[in-house]
Amino acid sequence: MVNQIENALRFAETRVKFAIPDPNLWSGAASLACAESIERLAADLHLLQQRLSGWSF
Amino acid sequence: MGDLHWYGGDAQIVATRGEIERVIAELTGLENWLQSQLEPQDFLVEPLERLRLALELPPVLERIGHIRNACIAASDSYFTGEIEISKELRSGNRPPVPELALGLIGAGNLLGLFGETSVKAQIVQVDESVAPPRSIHGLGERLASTAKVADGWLRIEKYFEPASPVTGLPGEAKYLVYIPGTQSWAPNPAGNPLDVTSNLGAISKTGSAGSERAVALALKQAGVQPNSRVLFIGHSQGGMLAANLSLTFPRSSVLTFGAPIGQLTEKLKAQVLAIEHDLDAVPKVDGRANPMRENWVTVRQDIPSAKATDPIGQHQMKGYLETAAAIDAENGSSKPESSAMTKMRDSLAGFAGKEPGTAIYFELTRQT
Repeated sequence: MVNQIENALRFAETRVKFAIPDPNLWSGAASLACAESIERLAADLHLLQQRLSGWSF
Repeated sequence: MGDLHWYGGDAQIVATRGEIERVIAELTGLENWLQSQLEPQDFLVEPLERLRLALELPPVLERIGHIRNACIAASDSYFTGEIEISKELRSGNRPPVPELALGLIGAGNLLGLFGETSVKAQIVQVDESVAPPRSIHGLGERLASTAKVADGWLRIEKYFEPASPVTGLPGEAKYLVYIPGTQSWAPNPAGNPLDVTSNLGAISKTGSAGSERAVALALKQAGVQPNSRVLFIGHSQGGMLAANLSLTFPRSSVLTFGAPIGQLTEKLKAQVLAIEHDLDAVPKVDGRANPMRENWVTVRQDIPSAKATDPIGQHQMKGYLETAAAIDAENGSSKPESSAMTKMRDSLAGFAGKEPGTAIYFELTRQT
């Protein structure tokens, strides 16, 4: 069964990707660095979700 | 000294304020929502998992905050340049400065003033084995000392790229041209072409000012070819001449201190580092802000209010040398776009290379 925390992290992973800049409206080195940081954050949120779901006493 | 601020020098950037604000808002929303997952009442359900989440979440929140702050800094950086430009656009209609200068020349000519003359450039001194300048302050210092040596003097330095290790042939020549500002304020052109008449000529039409034609003669005598690599360094009128002359040297760069060069927005293709003091009126004579271009970095300095009442002090090389030292000291990490400024700075500061060169002094004169 999927618990609430897994759901929350899944939602966060999806939501953070909405923050990736639209290259038509913001491009350049800073925009690229921002997009990469957000992608990495999304990947880390995914890993966190996996770690927590596999976590048990 | 006050804060340094700069704009320009970046490759083509699209940056809409709305999009950056949307990204910032998304990140703030996510941060708040994740924080809300750790309210005390949430610990009633799945308490152990919540505890684990509470341990794992702070670094995630910190990273979101870091990205958001970087976005805010990027926005500030882009729009500071925009603000600089829009501030001057809002300050009134742009006066047709070149046309006004031409009109003034025409009116002056009727009174026997501002009449252009033929000019001459003559070698007066050669210094061998000159160490290359290594910083923007160093370049400014040589410019200031050129102005002090004698009225109407111009300094051209020549350096060579290292010899080819294969053929042993000498490397390409590079020239640094130091052009002082206005030295004669008499409305009637006399001996020194760095005068008011040349000011009017330089801003109204490239190639027409007596001082500009005299520098062009000196360049020829120094062996500068149309395809040579040249760094023009100028203060005030010298900066205008530097920008004007660079139009005929496609491989040139320009460093100006307190010079109005915005009138060349559509023409100037050289690498440009323009240094201006916020309260120096002279670089504003062109009636327009410098553009935000990849080849053009404008650095401005807020002078503390104590010095704000001294308009001449704002324009003198002494103050610009302090600003040049601040530019050299900028470590390039304070904002995301600073790499554009530091890249331009390093390119001009290291232009001469590492090997010693020759300095040739010219005396520029009007033939009246």
